[in-house]
Amino acid sequence: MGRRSRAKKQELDRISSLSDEILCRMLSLLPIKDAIQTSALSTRWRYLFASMPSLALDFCYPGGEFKDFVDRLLNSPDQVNLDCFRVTGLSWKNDSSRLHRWICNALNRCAKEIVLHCHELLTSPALPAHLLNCDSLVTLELDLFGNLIFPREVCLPNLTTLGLCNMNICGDIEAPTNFCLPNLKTLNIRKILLSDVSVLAELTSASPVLEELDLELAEWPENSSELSLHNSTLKKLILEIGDNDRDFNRVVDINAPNLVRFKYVGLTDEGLRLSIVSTLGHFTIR
Amino acid sequence: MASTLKKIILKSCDGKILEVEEAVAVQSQMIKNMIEDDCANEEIPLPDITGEILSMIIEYCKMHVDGENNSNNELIARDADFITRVDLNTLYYLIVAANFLNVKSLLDLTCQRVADIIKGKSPEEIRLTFNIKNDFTPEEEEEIRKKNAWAFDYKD
Repeated sequence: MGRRSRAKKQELDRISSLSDEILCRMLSLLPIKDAIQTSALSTRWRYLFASMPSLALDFCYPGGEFKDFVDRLLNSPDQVNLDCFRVTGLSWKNDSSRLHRWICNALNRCAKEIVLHCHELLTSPALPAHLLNCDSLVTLELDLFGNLIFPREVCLPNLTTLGLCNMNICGDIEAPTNFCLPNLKTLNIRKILLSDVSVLAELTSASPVLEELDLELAEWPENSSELSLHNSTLKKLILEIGDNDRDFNRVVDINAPNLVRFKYVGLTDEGLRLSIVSTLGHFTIR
Repeated sequence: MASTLKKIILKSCDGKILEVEEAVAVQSQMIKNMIEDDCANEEIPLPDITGEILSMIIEYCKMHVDGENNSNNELIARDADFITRVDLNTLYYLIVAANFLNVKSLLDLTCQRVADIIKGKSPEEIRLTFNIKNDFTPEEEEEIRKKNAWAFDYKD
């Protein structure tokens, strides 16, 4: 009897007796393909994937099947709040309405983190307006190959990290954008074209707790000679400006009294001047 | 620093008594809450945690308190060393206990370990590893696989 019960004990399926919450958390840690495969294990696992708190969707699977799956997944009735919604490798051109719908869905599920890395997206993605006006977001990363037009109001009260990459950033033509980013600490702006330098000035000066700014402009903004970066809490600044082969005078005016680290990446030329006011000293780089 | 040397007394379900420094014990959010509510002055009974598992959890918490000044990489290496020594049964009881005691970093570590074991395995291999009984009919299972064929390496 003792031997039998011992043998039986070893055959117990313990993992399936864990709570839905824990199992869904485990599934969230798997690549999406492995997570979905668990639906074939047993009836206990059949629908667990629909309640994963974190979705990392990597569009490396060809065909529309995976996209249809994501549609179903995001429309499933088992809606839990999302810790993270991540889309990478999206490369279709005509599915921006689908992307729009997914983002809305993630926002409805109070996503704390939204990361979108999409390439070869020739048409500008129509982002839902409330992506830039929502309470839940803590981290937002957009890498979209398109225009990002800031609406008049950008209010993300809990956002601490904002990343913008591969985009042409424009402001509202009619009026300057009013930014409300009271908790933004880290701002990464990479490979960006700026149609309007004032957007960047507004963005940096309106972030009262900003500590890190990593700014890489693909080229000097057209129609402007001065780029202003004023922020009293900024500690670390990395600045990179591509395509410096211009012959007119350009100034980067940095006023950051608490700056402790500054790095300029790239070539300097005759016309480019960096004017820096900080505890590092007041100096100018030509 | 008298408060950091205060001992918390924990009692496992099999009657083992363990004295733990408060700084180590508060790695458990549950115990931290009890201390804050002034409910941790007498021994705390832990009905579903054996002495063996409790000792392991205390070892883990102690490692994290002692390693506070170590680099992140060192802690990751120690975590990896801790978790790879654990067999599947123990892993299960660690998850249950980490969840009950609310030790978030240990719950993350143990869940990640299970995910690492599952990763790259076919459903058959996962069932075999964890003794999961397939209660689908062959038709049901086939339907599930067909529905998300992209995930099951089906060729068109």
